[in-house]
Amino acid sequence: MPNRNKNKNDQQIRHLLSRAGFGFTPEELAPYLEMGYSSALDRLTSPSSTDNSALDKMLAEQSFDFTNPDDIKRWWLFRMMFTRRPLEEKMTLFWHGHFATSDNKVRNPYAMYVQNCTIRKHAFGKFDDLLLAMSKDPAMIEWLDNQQNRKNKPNENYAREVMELFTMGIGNYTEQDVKEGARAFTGWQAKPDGFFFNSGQHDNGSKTFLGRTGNFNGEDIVNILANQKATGHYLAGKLIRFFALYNPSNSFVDEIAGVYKKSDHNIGAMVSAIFSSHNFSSNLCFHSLIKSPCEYVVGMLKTFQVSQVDAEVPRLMAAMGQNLFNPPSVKGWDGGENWIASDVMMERFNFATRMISQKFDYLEKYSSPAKIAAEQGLSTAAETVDYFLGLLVENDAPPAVRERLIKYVSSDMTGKPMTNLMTNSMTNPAAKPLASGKLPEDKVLDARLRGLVHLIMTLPTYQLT
Amino acid sequence: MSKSARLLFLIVCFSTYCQAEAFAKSRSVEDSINQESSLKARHSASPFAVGNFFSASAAAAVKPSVEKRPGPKDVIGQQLVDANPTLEQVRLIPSLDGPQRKQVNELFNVYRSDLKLLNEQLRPLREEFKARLKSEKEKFDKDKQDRDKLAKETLAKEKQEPIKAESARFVPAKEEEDAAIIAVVGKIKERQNQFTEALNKVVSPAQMLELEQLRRGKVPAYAQ
Repeated sequence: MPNRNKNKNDQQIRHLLSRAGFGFTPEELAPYLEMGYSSALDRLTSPSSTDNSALDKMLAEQSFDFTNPDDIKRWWLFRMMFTRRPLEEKMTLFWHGHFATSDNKVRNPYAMYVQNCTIRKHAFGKFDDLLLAMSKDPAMIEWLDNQQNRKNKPNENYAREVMELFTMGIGNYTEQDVKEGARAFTGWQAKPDGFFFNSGQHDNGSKTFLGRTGNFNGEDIVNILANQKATGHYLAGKLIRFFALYNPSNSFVDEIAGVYKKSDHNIGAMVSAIFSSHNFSSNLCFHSLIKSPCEYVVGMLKTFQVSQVDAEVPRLMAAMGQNLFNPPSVKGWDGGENWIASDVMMERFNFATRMISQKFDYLEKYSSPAKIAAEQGLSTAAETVDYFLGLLVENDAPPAVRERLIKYVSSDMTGKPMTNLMTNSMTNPAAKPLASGKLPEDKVLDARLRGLVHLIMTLPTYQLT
Repeated sequence: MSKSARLLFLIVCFSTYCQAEAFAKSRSVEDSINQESSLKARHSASPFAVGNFFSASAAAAVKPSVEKRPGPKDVIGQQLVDANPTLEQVRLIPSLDGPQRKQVNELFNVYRSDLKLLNEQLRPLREEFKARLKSEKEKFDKDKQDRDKLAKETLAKEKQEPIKAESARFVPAKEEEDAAIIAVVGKIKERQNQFTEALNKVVSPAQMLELEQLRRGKVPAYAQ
C-alpha cells in the first residue's frame, strides 16, 4: 500500500508539473517528487522563492535582439524550456492569451517584449495591478487604439475590450458603460519610455459607469472593474479552463471566484486553489486538456533534453496554430479542440518526425531513444515499450496499442520477428541490454526505437496533458 | 511493406481517430489515475534518462543555446547587410527629443528612397548576370556534349580505347567580380556609410547606447 500511495502521489506531481509548466526534465522532476505535492505546489505558486539565476545566466549568454520579432519568440521559448519557475512562464502565457496583443498590428517587438515582462511581473499578484499595468502598457495602447482616444473624440476599443474580454465578460455591461469608460481612458497614451498621461486630451467631465457616478479616470475604471463579482467569476472560469478542465462545474467556478474575493483579488491564490482542488486531482482532470503547441513543442524538447532552440521552432509552432506575440485576435487563442484541427494536426506529426529524424540530429545530440534504452538497461521489447509509454504518455495507452508497439519494436524492417537481438533478449535474461553493443543490428534497433518514439508521440494521448 | 510505409500506415491509423479521441477524452476521461496498471509500477521511480544540461554529468557539457537564422548566403547579400539601425529602432530611443525625431524621420526618408533607387539599379544587373551565367552554362554543357560525342565516334572508328582525361569543368563567373555589380554595390555601401555619419550627427553616442541597451533587453523600471 505505501508504494501504491507513493506512485499515486508521484503521478499527481507529474500531472501538476505538466499543467503548471511545459513538461519536465528528470532533474526538474526529482526535487518535486521528493518534497511532495503540497510543497511542490507552494514552490510553483511562489516563483520568487525559487532561484532563477541559472536562467538569467543562460539568457545573458545568448545574443537576442529585442527589437527583432523572431528573437523575442526565441527568447520566450528559451525561458519556457530552461526556467526553474515553470508556472511563472505558464501564467505569462495564460495572460498573453487573455490580454491578447499582436505584434502584427503593434509593429514594435520591443514593446511586445516589455509587455511580456510586465505580465510576468504581475502574473501572480493582485489582479487590479495587472489590469492597471496592461491599461498603461504601450503595446496594449497601440493594439486597442487608445493612442487615438481623445477628449472630444473618444475611441471605445479599449473600454469595450476591458469589460468584454479582460474582466467581466459579455452581458455584464451596457453600451453606455462602454462610452463612459472610454471617456475615462481619454489621454492615456504611450511614449517610447512608457505610459504618458496626456492631460490636455483627458475628459474631466462626470461619468456614470456601472451605476456609479464621478469624475472617473482610467484608474477608477480599473478599480471598479476589478471589484465586480462578475470579474471574479470570469477570471475563475478562464483560469480553470486553462489549467484544469474545459467544462468545470458551476460550484468549482464559484469556489475559485470566492478565492478571488477572499484573497483580495490575488491571482496566485486562485491558481493555488485550482491546483489544490479535488477537481484537479480527480480522474476527470487527468489527460483531459489538449496540449497547446507551446506545451507540445516545449514539452517534447524537454523530455528529450534538447538544449538548443532551433531557428525554425517559432515558425513551426505558428504553423501548429500558436504564433507567440501574434495571437489571432483580441480574444486570444481559442485552444481546445482547435489545437488539433485537421490542418494543424499534420504539423504536429511533422514536428515529431523532425524530432526523431537523424537528419535534424536532435536526439543524436541529446537523448536518443537508443541511448536512453541503454542507460535504463532495457532488455526486452515489452520493457522498452512500457518505458517509453511511461515517459511520454504516463502509460495512458490501450492494451491493444501497447501490443502493436511491442510487435513493431520486436520485428525487423520487413515485419519479420527479429531473432538475433530483440527476440533473444526477450527470451534470454543474460542478453546484453539494448543498444549497448556494437552489433550491426543496433542500426536496425536504433531505427526501431526512433520509430517507436514517433508512434507514441503521434498517439492521441500524447496530444493531451 | 517497407519500414516507412508501415510507419506511415500506423500514423494514419492513429491520426484518423486522434481528434475525436482527444476531444472525447477532454470531456470524460476514464479512471486512469486510480487504476494503476502493473506497467506503471515498473518504471514509476525514475522513468527518465540520467543527466541533462542542468546536471554535472557529461551531457551537461551541452550548453543551452538558441540557433538563429543564418544571414544571406550569397556574397553580394552579405556585402549589402546594413549595419545601420532601422527607423523603427531609432524611434525607440526614449531621450530623443521632438526636433531630433523630425530630423531622424527626414534622414530616413531620404536614405530609404536613395537605397530604393540603388537597389532598382542593382536588381536588373543581378538578374541579367544570372541569366548570362545560365546561358553560358547551357552553352558549355552543349559544347561538351558535342565534343564528347565526336570524340566517342572518332575513337570508335579508330577502334581505340577511350582515353581517361580529366573533363573540363564549367567555372562560373562570380557576381562579386562583375564590374557593373561591384559599382552599384559600392554605391550602396557608400550611401550606407554616409547615412551612418549623418545619423551620428543627429543622434548622440549616448542615445545610440540607449538603443543598444534596449536591443539587448533592458526594460523600463515599471516592467522589472
